[in-house]
Amino acid sequence: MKNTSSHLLLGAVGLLATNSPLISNQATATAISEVKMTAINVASLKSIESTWLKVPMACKARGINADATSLIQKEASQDIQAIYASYEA
Amino acid sequence: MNPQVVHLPAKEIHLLRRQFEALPEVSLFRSSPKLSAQITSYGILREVGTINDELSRFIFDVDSQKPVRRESLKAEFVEWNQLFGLRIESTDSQRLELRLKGFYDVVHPRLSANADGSLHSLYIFPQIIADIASRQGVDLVMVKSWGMNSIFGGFNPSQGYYQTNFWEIENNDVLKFADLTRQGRIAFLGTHDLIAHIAGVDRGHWLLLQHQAQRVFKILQDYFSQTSKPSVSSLILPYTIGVILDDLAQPPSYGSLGHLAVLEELLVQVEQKVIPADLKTMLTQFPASFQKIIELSREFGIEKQPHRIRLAIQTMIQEILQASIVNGI
Repeated sequence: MKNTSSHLLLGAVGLLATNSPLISNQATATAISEVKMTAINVASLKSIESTWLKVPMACKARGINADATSLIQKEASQDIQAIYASYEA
Repeated sequence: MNPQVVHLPAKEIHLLRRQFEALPEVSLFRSSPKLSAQITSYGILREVGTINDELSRFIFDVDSQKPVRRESLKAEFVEWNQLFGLRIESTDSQRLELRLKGFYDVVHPRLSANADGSLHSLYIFPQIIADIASRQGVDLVMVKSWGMNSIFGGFNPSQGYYQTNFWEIENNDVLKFADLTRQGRIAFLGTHDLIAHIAGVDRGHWLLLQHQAQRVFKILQDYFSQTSKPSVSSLILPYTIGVILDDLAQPPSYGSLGHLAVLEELLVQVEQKVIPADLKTMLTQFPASFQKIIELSREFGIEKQPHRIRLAIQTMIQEILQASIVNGI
């Protein structure tokens, strides 16, 4: 399985170097098994990695959509403080 | 009783991993609170002070009024009143303040505060946080596959991102994320979950959010029903939808009209199958316009300019199609 995937990966990458035709928005009718599709996806992920890394927002782990701001309330609300208090021994 | 510092040797971390592996794919935090608290604490501890630390830019030194250096943050495990958690400290300052709404809610107030109200450290107890979330009608959960990719592996500091972030595309994690959100659940595995989704969680916004997540889930489920193995080319639009939905599930962006407008247009394109889910192609480039779409969704008032949203999304679709090559294997 691993060798097959590797060969398919190499073959798929090879297609890049030979200027394979671009497609339109229609799928081709080529029948490709799920195993082959997995190998193609491995090749795709390898191929897009460098361009993916250039897109900062592609990484969700750094994706909080907020800026640091000064807060008026610098403590937990009373309700929340009550929850913490309930865990005191 | 004061919190006690706890050291977990490698053998115990290994045991923790084994116990985590034995959990179902999705498990409620409250169904195994001690184990969940240990796993979450470990996930947060691994990220604190690293490039994946999402807390650091909201932690300020009171005296300088500047954020502490990310590298100055250190974390260690603690136990207190039979609760497992962690303490985060900065070598830069012992007079800290937090600058994100809701952040104070997830830090133990008495244990963390100086007499003047500033914080000497941040005591975080995941079990209490799960309790706070549940009172907002939201269940915190462990997600095994995500945790195995992040907490227990997959991170190379030189790359600056988790493997899981990249593989989210192929794993089609947006479906799982939408599924969790529509059920009123939030994963609790690291600093992103804590600061971006749990701090400030508010039941008043979750009804709408769950409705949106339900719509995303249904449309994507229908879309992917065409194929058992979608190509990466067909996964980029759903991935983009996932990032927008992730924003919408963050308290600062709850109900954002800009996000909703961009999300709607993306869903329309998926429903119309402009990129078929069974498109059997290899993708050679990640579309640069992805960044533009995320930025647009975060732009104030963008919902009043639908033509700009449509143009950006059309541009990304063209980018995807042009970078998709027919595989002749």
